[in-house]
Amino acid sequence: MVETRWWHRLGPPLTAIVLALTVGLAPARAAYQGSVYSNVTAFGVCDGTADTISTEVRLLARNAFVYLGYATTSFDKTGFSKATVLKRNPLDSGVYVHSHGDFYGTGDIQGFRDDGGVCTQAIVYATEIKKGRTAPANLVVMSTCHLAEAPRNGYPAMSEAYGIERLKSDPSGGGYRGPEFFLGYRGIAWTSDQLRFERAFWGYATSGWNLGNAFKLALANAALQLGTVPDWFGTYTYSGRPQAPAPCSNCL
Amino acid sequence: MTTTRARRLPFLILSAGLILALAAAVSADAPDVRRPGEPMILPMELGATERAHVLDRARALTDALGIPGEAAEPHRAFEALDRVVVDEVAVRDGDGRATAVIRTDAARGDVRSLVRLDWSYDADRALVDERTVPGHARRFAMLAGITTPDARPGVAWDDAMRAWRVSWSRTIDGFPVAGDGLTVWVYRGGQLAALKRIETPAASAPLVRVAPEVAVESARGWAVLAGIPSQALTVTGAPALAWVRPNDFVTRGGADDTDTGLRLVFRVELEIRPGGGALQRVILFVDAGTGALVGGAESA
Repeated sequence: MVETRWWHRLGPPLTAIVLALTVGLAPARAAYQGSVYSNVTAFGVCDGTADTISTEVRLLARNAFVYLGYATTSFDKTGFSKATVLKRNPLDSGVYVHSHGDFYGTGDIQGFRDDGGVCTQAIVYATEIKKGRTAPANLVVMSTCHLAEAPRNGYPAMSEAYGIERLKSDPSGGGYRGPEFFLGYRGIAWTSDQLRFERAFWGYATSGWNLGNAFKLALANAALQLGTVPDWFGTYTYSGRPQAPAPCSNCL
Repeated sequence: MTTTRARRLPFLILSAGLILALAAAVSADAPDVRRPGEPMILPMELGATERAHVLDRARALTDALGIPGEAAEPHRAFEALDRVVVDEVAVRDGDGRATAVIRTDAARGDVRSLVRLDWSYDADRALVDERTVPGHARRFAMLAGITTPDARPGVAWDDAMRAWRVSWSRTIDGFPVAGDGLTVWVYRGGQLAALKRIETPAASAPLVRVAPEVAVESARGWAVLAGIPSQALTVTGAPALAWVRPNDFVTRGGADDTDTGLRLVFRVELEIRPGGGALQRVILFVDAGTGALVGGAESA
């Protein structure tokens, strides 16, 4: 008879520990990617102003995305290039962009400028975003001018490019649109107003209020001084926490 | 014989003293200046007596406006961007659902905003329209203890709030105050959706004003120092007088807001088109009394 060596007896408990650690430490689901972009160069170097808002709104958004549970990376200057945006786009569940936004080109297609650290800034078109996506995003914030407006000439709106239709569910939960929320601005947005509104919005969104209530509270509480008009689409009652998108008939 | 006014005098003096003492206590805790990168909101201590006052004010408002639920969770914070100390209260019904959030000015006790969160399908019934909604807005403001101006309000449909927005802009000496005034949102069913009142303290108006041309020259001078070529700069429209809060827009590393309250300025609007870059709209604030640049804003 061969005596069992002492380390052989460690096998079962070690296996159990390894299994427990593997199961316990592994994420319950794949991480949901969040990308936060802010154009610093356009609002500082290019127009000669002493801008601090681009960094402030980036940090507000980044911290909120992290709080909500997105695996978040934030980008500015050379890091916020068109190539980076399009490369990350297919896997983005949450997206925040602070930049110039407008209707660009002969087709009047919605888009936003990248940073790239230079003043000749490339345009990222809604059509390019849409082309790279296979599923709707959860939370999209376009901290720019114009991108909450209706699209033109049959091209998609920026919200639609991310799979979020330009519709609003009821505060009661009726008309639920899945786990999705788009925040943008109509007309010209002034950066000092954006800072005030977004500070209030993220403050409520990260303290137990759903995104619809957070929007409403921010609109009533932020002292907007220059007539900036925020708007939203999606599900009023959505928390903003990333999750698998609901099937939808007309999103992507 | 003692007149009514004379009998009231001690109470008025006492009330005024209490308000001044509260205002001094509130402002004593607030930092003078916020630097970029510092917190935009600072939680503040709310003592037991003040807590009771805040809840009482909220209860008076919910009773007057017929909002169901009980005021709870009072907290105080310093809003560094706007340099104001606010008290906020959530109103919750028996099931714990929020029916409203109320914000008051901690120093003055005035309501700054009230947002109803207890939406029902009745809110979407088209019972009021552009013509009748101002009357509803005036009534809600009155119930909240706010006197509405006699002037005709601006009325517009607000898709984001799914409600009519009725607004009275504030003016001082006939000049608009940027962002100040009273706004009441009313659902199509005639229910109150939200109200917001902002009245920023103002500095005195200058006794003598510089000419508008001085404001334009000041703006052009800034552009030269900022390295903007003259061919990339267009001054659009005529400079307009307005009351604004100064900021750090033209002061690198400066404070976001100063402690001087509203200042009367010329707003000079510019369009800047840097080489190959996007069109940038900029507003510069030029002090109407001194001609000095005291802030501005830029579009996204």
